[in-house]
Amino acid sequence: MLNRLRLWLRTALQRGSLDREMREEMQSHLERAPERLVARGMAKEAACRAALREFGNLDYLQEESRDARGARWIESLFADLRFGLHHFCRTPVSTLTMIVLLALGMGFNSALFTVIHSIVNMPAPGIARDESLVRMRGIDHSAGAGRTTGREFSYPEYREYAAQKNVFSAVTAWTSADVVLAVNDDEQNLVSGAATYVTASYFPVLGVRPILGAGLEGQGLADDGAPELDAVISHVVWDRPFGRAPDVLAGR
Amino acid sequence: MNAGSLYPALYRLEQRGLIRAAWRATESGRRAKVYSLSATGRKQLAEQRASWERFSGALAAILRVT
Repeated sequence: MLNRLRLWLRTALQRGSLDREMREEMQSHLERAPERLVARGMAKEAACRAALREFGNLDYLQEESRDARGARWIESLFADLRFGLHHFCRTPVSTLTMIVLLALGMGFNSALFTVIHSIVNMPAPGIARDESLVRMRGIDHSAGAGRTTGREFSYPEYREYAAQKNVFSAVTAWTSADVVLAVNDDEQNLVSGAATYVTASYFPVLGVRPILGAGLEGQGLADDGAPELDAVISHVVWDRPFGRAPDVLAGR
Repeated sequence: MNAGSLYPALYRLEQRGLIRAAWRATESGRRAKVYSLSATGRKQLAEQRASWERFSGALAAILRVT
């Protein structure tokens, strides 16, 4: 194995001297072959011609010999590289255009990847990255073998998962809907937005605390009797419709 | 077969590490390349020879039967 590597390296690095040796070897063959024929009584010139004929096509055999070394691809690679470089040097404007286009393409791609990666795979800002935090998705197999679609979990299903304390230390669930918000119960001041309905464990599981108020703490589990709905508003909602009112909690 | 076809074959064997080549001076004072079997080459030769003997032995057996 080591020997093969040594031979390969020699072929790759000493192409020139190997080529010279090969030509010298063949030349000495061609010089000595007529001697044998002359000894058999052939005229010198005829012997030289006969030796050449006997040897075969010299160029072809030299090509074959280079092939036998198994490093022809290195030669073609260098020839291609040389050709490519010359071509680029001759046409600097289109080369520059190509480089700029490639750079833009790659930059755009990696930027897009970064954005999508942070949206899809990374937790939202403010939530600590935690390997033990997982998201479960429902799969619907009813469409037939091999065909699956996503589905939401039902509330009893959620409660079953939450009851499995040996698997998950805490489980939270959410669903979303579009809502219209009457700011400060003013029916003239309506704001449409998206609401996310969550279970009481939502903020503790994600490790997020509201800036104002106690969040959803103290909320009873929604399954014993009619739940008392509480709302947590986002910073954007507090900022605009409520004008950052510090007493926003009092007005609920 | 041309006499020159020897050289690609020799280079192929050398590249596979089966033979070794060395330049030596001949009695007439010329430089000549001398090829010799390497250890791997000797092993390979023994294997190939054994395989050939098995094959030709089988053929001979068939010829004797028919």
